[in-house]
Amino acid sequence: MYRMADSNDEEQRILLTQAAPGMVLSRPVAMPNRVNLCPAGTTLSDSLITKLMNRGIKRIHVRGRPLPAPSLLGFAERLRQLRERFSRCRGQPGMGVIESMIEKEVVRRS
Amino acid sequence: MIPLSTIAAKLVTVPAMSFPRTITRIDRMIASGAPAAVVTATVCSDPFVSALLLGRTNAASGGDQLQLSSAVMVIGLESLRGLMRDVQPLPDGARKTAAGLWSLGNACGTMCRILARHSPPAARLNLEREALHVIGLIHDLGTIVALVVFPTEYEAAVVRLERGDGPFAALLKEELGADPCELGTLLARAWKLPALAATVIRHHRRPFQAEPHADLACLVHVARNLVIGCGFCAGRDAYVEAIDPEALARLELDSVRIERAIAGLFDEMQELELYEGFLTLTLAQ
Repeated sequence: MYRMADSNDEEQRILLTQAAPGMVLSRPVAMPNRVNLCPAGTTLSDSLITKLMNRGIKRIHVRGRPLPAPSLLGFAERLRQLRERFSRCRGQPGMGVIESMIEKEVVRRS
Repeated sequence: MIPLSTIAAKLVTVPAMSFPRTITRIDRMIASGAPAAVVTATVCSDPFVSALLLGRTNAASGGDQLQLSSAVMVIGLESLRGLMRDVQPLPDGARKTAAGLWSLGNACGTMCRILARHSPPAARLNLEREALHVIGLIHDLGTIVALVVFPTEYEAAVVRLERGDGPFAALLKEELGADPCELGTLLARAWKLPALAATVIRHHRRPFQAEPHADLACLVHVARNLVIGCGFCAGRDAYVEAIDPEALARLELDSVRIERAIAGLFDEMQELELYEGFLTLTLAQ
């Protein structure tokens, strides 16, 4: 069973396929025509997740940050990992340029 | 080292494996009458189950089906449910690494679609977006097979990789007797995967050997190494291999187009990178 995050202020937008029983909705789930299917505060169960999938719901907001995200890594750590990944091919033609492009994108999104 | 014929014989009976939650979820979705498109969307985040489905469909229909949505329509949801009963849960010890490999497959499939928008030769392949995604998704079946069927040899290769003894493919070849491309090819043959997918699985590391399908193999070769560079690593092999400059030239991918493709990947993977495999890991901890 999923363990709740400590903070009730945080929320995470996730794909419904990533949802697990025990997660708590931080926002209501609504159909495109704004008909509410579940209120905020609802605790998800397997059957509820399946029902929402069958209704075509793709994404939900849940309390806390239940899923690990690479973006949560510190900026310096992300750059260190990037350097490590390219450490064995950096000398090959063009690979240094590609590393720089990815670094630029990482910096832009940080 | 194990003789190639012994490896091939072992792969004839190898079952597909997946995360227990995926197996249960697909079964429940079909039982509760979920639309085929919803079930397909779940299946197509899983490289091993996707390959199994494509193989069974091709064996049954004799065609070269590369689209999972069509495959589900051909065999029907009840047959898919029966097929899922053959899928075994991944061993506990393999789940963390498998989560990375599942993630790589999803990222590579996504990047293949993105690159095809930026590369005129890839666009001229006239493959549906879904087919491009599936080929990227299942391109590294060989590493998955090494992880779940030959864990001792996989572990030995990883230890030597971390020591800096050489690239993972060469080390696995030394430890096991087959590299990931050869393993993937053997499985593709055993599972009767479409010829085009089997060719890409075999040659994505040396794409020009895949003629007359070198354009597609180049696309997967470039996509794979770009997504590893972006952080979607091949299990415990976190190192980018050099992209063949000839492959970039053949796909007419200059630095502007590559830059746009990288930005597109980060956009699309913002959510997909947190797919179910990683969730399973979180719950297990």
